[in-house]
Amino acid sequence: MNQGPHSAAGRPAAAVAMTDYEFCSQYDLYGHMACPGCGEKILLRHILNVLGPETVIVCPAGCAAVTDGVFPHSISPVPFLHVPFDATPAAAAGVRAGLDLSGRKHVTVLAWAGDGATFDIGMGALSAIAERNENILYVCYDNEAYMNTGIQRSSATPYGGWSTTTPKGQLKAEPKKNIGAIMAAHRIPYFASGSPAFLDDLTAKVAQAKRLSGLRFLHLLSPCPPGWKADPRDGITLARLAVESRLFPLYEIIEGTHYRLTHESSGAGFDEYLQLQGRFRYMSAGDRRILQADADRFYAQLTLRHNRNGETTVIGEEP
Amino acid sequence: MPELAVSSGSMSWNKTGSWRSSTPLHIDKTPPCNFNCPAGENIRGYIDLLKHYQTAEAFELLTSANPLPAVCGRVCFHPCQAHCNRHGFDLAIQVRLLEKFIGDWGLEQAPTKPLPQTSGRKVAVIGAGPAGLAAAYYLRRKGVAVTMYDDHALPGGILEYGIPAYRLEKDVLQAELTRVLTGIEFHPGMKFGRDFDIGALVEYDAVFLATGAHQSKRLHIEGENIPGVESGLGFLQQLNSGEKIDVQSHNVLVIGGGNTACDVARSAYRLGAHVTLLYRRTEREMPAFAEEIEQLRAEPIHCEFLVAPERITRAENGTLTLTAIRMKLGEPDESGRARPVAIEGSQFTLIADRIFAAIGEDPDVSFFPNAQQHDDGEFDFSGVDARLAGKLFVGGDLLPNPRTVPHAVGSGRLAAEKILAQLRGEPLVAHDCVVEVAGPEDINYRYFTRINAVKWQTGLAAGGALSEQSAHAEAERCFSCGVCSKCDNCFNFCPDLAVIKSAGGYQVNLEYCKGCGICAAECPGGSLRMRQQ
Ligand SMILES: Cc1cc2nc3c(=O)[nH]c(=O)nc-3n(C[C@H](O)[C@H](O)[C@H](O)COP(=O)(O)OP(=O)(O)OC[C@H]3O[C@@H](n4cnc5c(N)ncnc54)[C@H](O)[C@@H]3O)c2cc1C
Ligand code: SF4
Ligand code: SF4
Ligand code: SF4
Repeated sequence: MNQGPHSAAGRPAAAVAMTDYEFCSQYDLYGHMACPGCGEKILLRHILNVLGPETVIVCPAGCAAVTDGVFPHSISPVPFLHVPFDATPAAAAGVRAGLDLSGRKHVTVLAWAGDGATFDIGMGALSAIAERNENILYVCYDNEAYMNTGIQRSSATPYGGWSTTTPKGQLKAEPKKNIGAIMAAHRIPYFASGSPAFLDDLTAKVAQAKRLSGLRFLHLLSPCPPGWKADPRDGITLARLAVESRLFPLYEIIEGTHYRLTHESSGAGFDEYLQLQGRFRYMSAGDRRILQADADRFYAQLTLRHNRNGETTVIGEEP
Repeated sequence: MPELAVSSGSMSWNKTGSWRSSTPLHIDKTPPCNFNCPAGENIRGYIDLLKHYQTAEAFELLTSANPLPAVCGRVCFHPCQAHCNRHGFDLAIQVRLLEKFIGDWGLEQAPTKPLPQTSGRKVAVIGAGPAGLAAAYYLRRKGVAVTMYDDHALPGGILEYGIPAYRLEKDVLQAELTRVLTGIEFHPGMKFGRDFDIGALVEYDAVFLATGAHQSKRLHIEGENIPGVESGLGFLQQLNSGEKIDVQSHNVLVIGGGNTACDVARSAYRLGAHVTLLYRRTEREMPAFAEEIEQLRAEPIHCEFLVAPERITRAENGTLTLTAIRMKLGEPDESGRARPVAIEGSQFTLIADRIFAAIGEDPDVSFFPNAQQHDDGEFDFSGVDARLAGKLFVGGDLLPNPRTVPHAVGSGRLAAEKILAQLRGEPLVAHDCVVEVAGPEDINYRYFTRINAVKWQTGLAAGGALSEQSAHAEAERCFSCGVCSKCDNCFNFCPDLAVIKSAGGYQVNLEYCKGCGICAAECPGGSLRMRQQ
């Protein structure tokens, strides 16, 4: 199991063996429009560092599209195609076909979409490219609501979470959609979750996804200080607590069947995670218990599946 | 018109630094281990080198402040450990074991480095204890010729003649002293005031006086001079000189509660005596180092607390009778410790074959009959002789400092620096400027995993000494309090790529830093923090 930032002796994380200083310094990645402390920009720079310059980004409406730059300016060191909200999968498939036809099979097509475009609006087309196993790396940076349009709930918003469309008194009553199970149901070659607080784990997964072909899907937690009503400085802390509290466990699914936990979540920090974020302020004690029990149940399932690794888990069957 | 609208410019014109309301600053604080080391060691620094298996460099750094790491790794009372920020978290970094590891490495593997040519400057050092040795060592390494005098046959002072061999092995001491004394002219058996005097010192550019405190304090009771009643330090000296002392099955009384008393009691016990230690306050007030007391209490040595001696008599057959009185604790005295008060009529007697008085030592400066002593214990030698005016420096137990080996070493090194500055005709530059000491609140504990302190300590101490592997594992636990550990977190977690990493360290690009504070929040040891603009 990957150790994340902790090791037995408790040394500080040498977060990643990095070369991205060299990569980033070749480009002007400064001056983007993201809010202070934005998780999406932390994720993107580390992903691009692994993927390298032979990458094309396909990006729907969302924070990433808006904050990349002010037309005609962009921070992106690689081609960055803006596409309609629901069309990321289709557009990415088109880009893939074009690259393949022009003999550039080695170029990575990176679909870079938020939770709104992935969990909700682009879901149909996403299912289509997954079913066809298109050679695309689809990465969802999940900040758990439609943030740049004003914090509307998405199907990725956690149970009990506040948003402008699930206000106090009508907090989100549905649990977060299980995107891993959906992608696994398509039996894609590779699914993994990731958190910016665990950069070793994250970059290893991006590297693994890069090595494979077919549809690879990464589901990454992306702290959003204004949307989560949190202090910008706490972004990485929250990304770590989400993992440790089991609300956002780190795992992979290979070929839709083999589950592997890549970090053992301690189970600690649940209360602190909620308490650091204004979006959970209105939750009742009962709601908190429901959310935690749900997280624990999911984590227990993952653990069972992890331990049964090597055997085939039949999709849809409870372990 | 292109078929597709394409951005061609970068965003670097967008100086997002203007969004910022607070600014991250990389300012190292002083780690509490360093701050509390009386010898002035850069402890965090050598621990960091051990993390990278750079033992040779660690030895180099450690001996740049303390030439006696193998000794201090054994006898230092390690205030560094008591103040370690990891102490309250799980278990203090075992600095003493690390120091011992580095010191022992040095005894076996330190390369012999050529000393600089002497420049013609000459300094005399009187007293070859840790203070004199440290001064001589650093002076010689700066090209000053050093002549060292000591009244004993061997160098080391208390290290050689006071501290018993079961705490500081003689071969270790000898090996370390051999290295330290390389290039230094040592004259044993030369007592200042008896075998030579001020006249012999006039030819030197400076004189460092570090004769320690060797005169046992008197008990001031009836019978303290009768045969069989002896000084504890004298007993340790005899023992350390290899004299045969027969106290097998004798009843031995030790009077006192300091390090000397503990060492006397434990040494006599090792020679087969039945030992009783008498101290006029309670165990809590004992001035000996905590570890020493702990070890004393772990041995079958009987302790009588709240007891003061009143009178000693001697019978025909040589048996001694000590009359003692019981005490109780009263109001605190000037030292802050509770003052013992006699309980009327509580006298009782103890029978003994030998009694050792170890209630403290005073310096003997009879070689300067006209020396003054201030109320705080500091000596004033300024008027002793015009020929030494401005040339006399003092260190070690002669100073009113706590009497410990690391204090002596620190005072010796400081004296060397003062002498060097004076020889150059420059004022002394203070180089260890403490900005702020890093406290527990500076640590981001999320980056550290609690260990099982008991298990860990047993594992480390297994075999008595650290292996390279266990030294590394122990070093890895260090928080690097207040000092950048080059973990890359600030660089990696900045959403705005505003932390610039270079060979020299990390810098914030204030043109683009939005002041989110992530870098400071994720700095494990607290060397990076936010300042409001
Ligand atoms: C029994 C005992 C145990 C101790 N245990 C510890 C311990 O575990 N840890 C710790 O940190 N500290 C300990 N201490 C304290 C520590 O040893 C001293 O603080 C330290 O040695 C002082 O160093 P120094 O160089 O000033 O003097 P010293 O070590 O006393 O050396 C002074 C030297 O000068 C010589 N000298 C004296 N007069 C003259 C003269 N007129 N001419 C020439 N030479 C002279 C002396 O013979 C001696 O060799 C202990 C002290 C004692 C007495
Ligand atoms: S954790 Fe390390 S730097 Fe901090 S006080 Fe302890 S030894 Fe010193
Ligand atoms: S993480 Fe980056 S933007 Fe945020 S305060 Fe630090 S340097 Fe500035
Ligand atoms: S985050 Fe790491 S690299 Fe940055 S200042 Fe702190 S210790 Fe140094």
